[in-house]
Amino acid sequence: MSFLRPELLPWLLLALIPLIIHLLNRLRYKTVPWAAMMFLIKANQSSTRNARLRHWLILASRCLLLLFFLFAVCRPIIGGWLGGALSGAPEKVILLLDRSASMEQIDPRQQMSKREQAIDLFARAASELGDSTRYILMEHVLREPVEIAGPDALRDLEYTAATDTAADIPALIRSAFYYLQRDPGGRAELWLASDCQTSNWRPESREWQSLMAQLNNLEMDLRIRLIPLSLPPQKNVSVAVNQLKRFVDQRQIEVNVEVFSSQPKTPEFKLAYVSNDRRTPVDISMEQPELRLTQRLPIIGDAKADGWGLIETQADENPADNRSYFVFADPEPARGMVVATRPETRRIGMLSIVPDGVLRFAQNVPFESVDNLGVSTTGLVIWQGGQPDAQTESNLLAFAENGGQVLCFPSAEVNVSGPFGLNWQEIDKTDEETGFNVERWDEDDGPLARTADGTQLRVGDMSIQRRQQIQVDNDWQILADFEDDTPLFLRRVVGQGHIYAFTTLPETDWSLLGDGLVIVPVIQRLLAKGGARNARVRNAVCGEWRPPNTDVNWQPMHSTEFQDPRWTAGVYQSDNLNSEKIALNRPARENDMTYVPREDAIALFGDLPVTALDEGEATAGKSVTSELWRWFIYFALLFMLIEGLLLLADRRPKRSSSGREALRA
Amino acid sequence: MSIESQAFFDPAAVSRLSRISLSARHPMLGSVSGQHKSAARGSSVEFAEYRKYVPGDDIRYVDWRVFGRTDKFFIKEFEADTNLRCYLIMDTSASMAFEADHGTKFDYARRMAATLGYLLIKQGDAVGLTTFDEKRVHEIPAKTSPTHVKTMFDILGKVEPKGATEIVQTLHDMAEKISSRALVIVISDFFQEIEPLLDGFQHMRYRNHDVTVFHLLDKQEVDFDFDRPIRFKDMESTFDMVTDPSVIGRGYREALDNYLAAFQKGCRQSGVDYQRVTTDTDYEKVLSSFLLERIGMKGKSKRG
Repeated sequence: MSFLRPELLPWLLLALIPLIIHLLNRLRYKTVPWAAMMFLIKANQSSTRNARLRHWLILASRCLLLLFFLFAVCRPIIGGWLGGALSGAPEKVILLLDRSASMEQIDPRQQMSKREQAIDLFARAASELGDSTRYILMEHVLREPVEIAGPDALRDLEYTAATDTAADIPALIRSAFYYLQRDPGGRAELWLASDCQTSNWRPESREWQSLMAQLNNLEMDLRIRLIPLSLPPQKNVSVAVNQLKRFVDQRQIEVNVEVFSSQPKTPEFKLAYVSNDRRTPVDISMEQPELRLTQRLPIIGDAKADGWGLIETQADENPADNRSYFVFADPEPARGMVVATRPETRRIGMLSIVPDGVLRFAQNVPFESVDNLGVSTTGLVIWQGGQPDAQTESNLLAFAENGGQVLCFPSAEVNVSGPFGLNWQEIDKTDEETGFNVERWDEDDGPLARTADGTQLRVGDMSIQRRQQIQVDNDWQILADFEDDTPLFLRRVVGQGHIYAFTTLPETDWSLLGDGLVIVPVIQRLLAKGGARNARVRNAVCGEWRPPNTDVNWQPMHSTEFQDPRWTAGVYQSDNLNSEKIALNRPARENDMTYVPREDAIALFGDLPVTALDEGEATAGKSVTSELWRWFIYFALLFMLIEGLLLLADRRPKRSSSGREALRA
Repeated sequence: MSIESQAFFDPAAVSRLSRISLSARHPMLGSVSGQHKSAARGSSVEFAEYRKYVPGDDIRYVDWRVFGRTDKFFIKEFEADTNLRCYLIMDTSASMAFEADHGTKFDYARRMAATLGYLLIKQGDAVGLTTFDEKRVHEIPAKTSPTHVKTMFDILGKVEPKGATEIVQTLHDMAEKISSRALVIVISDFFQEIEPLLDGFQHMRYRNHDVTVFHLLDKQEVDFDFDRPIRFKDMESTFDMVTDPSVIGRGYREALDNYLAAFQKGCRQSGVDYQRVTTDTDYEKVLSSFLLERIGMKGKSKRG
């Protein structure tokens, strides 16, 4: 049991008032000369053990009456989501809000989105904690702590509004950890509201273990409160533009669309293509949960001019996934750069950049000439070798922060530091024909993801005879690893770009990475991603793209209302001379309809005390606290009744003192 | 100080009460003629009974009619009227000084004793007075003269409640000391063990005295209405006790009730006229009821 008003607990001493009055009365007794002493003596002797017992019961009832009443004033809570082992209101509560696109799913029972439910539950729980607790909001997009005045402020904050982004729950929790590290002490709680979408939670990531170890090491009393809102959608369809081709001669654009449904079969529904203000409706029915469509749309006006459009479907349970945007323009060539000490790697890198020679440029930069690396027009830098000098590394970091992609390969020298915190260790070799087995890789997102038509990259089939051990910090995310948990492919987010690293070389005595089935798609994807930063017209993922220049405003073309491109999907145009256009869409992983079960989500937090709200409690909108004050009032009334009964039992009818009665005696 | 000016004497009340005469329950053995039945046979007109003729009896009282029927000599006897001798025994121990809201028991007893004494002498009866605490303090014999009232009142005026109670010995002593049948009125709070008291009364009754007890109690002693811890200090000793009336109250009242019930029962069984009086009751009403009751009892009681 705990109390919402623990500061009132010292007032429980008031329950001793009846006892104190009793003792004071005994000390301040009056002296009465008494003639009928013989009866007092007799009464005192027999004295009724019962009378004494009754007297003490009356005193105890009075004390307990006060005690229970004062307990009720202290507002005890127990059980439920906020009760349990909590022994008092925490000093600070960090509200972690998942406001990804999937959180806009509307619960038909509550008639509000999961995000709105989460805010409502936060606000209600916070309002019951009292005034002594500080509330810090962290949402998954900015991951910056925002201290709020009170629970009521949550509903009106822009930081709790809907987004079209995907959440990274481990990263969100890590941000909370950094905050707690800067502001330790006292009792703190993390309240996490999420739909537990698997793609957002990444339960298989080893990042959870390191994160929980760090949280456990914080010298503070930390508890986790989880609001899982993982009710899957019943009837929801989402759309995503997968690919866009322009046929200038035919004055057409071809849009490749992916349609996802929550139902195994979906009866006919409406889909609409909108481009150049022309709307093309299509009736669709689905026999499978996923469908790929290709539609050609006419280009009105200049066939080479820039344009934009969108695909939308009818309103359903989640309005956030009913639209997908696209922009189109003349394609620009992709440029890549290779800096490698080993010729074979250099060669493979160059080939992978320009596999077909079309619209690709590869530049070979000798390692000795890495000073003044001109990366302004480059989308991808392939780096194989040791540590660059500080200036070069700084340039590369700036390049990555600006959206560029860097792909690193092992130095092939033992105990050598590489760029970006890569520390190359021992080289492992195996003579087995199958080599080191690659067990896991991220097929949903990133460079190793399945292709647009769902084809899996042959990562598991690669024969790897050599690999170099690597030592990295927690900023690196493992995208593929071997059977023995040694990483194969890693990623680090730097600003708007990424740095990737393989732990094997694309050389024949190292692995079959160089045969192209994996390395080429990886490099092409990185090239496209990195090259997009310089494109005047491009498609990007909402939440992963940031306006590169704060002096440039991006106006929405898809809406007349103000929209923030940092987290709202749509088509935006810059107001500078370049007049760039960008189509921001919610991330593909938001189409994931798998959810981490409640028990598994709790288990991810390891030894940390976690209390999770039941799904039913969350969706039924029940109070997250279970207050006991009513029961304490009932007990107080009960003891009042007991005291009254005991007093009545002790009362005797007054004697008649009339003379007649005396004489009749 | 004149009788009328004594604080414990209310001439108006006495005047009202004097319309009712105090009667004895049993035939008295008075020295002079009075209004009470005499235990001896006398010359009144009221036929009492027949007895056998013995030589020397006055033949004027032979019932010739009975002789005609039975051929035997019987003498007719007639009731004799005589005066009453009353002894007032008043407790003047320290416990009688208890006072709550209605004056002390001592004042009440003194008022009753003075009124009864005056009434009795006025109706031609003899009154004696004995006051006692741990011993007999004052003792005046029963007399009928009006000046005897002043003597009584002087004693009542100067006596003070003090000391312990030794009523039992006083009763036994008085039982022996009062030579002939008399009315004995004991006024006390009787805070004493019952058995010795009843022994004392039975001794009196054995001596054929008509015993009446006025059991004086204060209302507070009966109700025991205290709401906070009190240090009760015994008025007749140095003993005291601190107790919480809320704890002990019931036990006290039970003990008191048991005592009163036993005492009353014992008195009735002993043929003692028991009158329980609380000091909040108007003494005039008490005495009035007592006197009327006595008239009702007259002639119905057995010869002693």
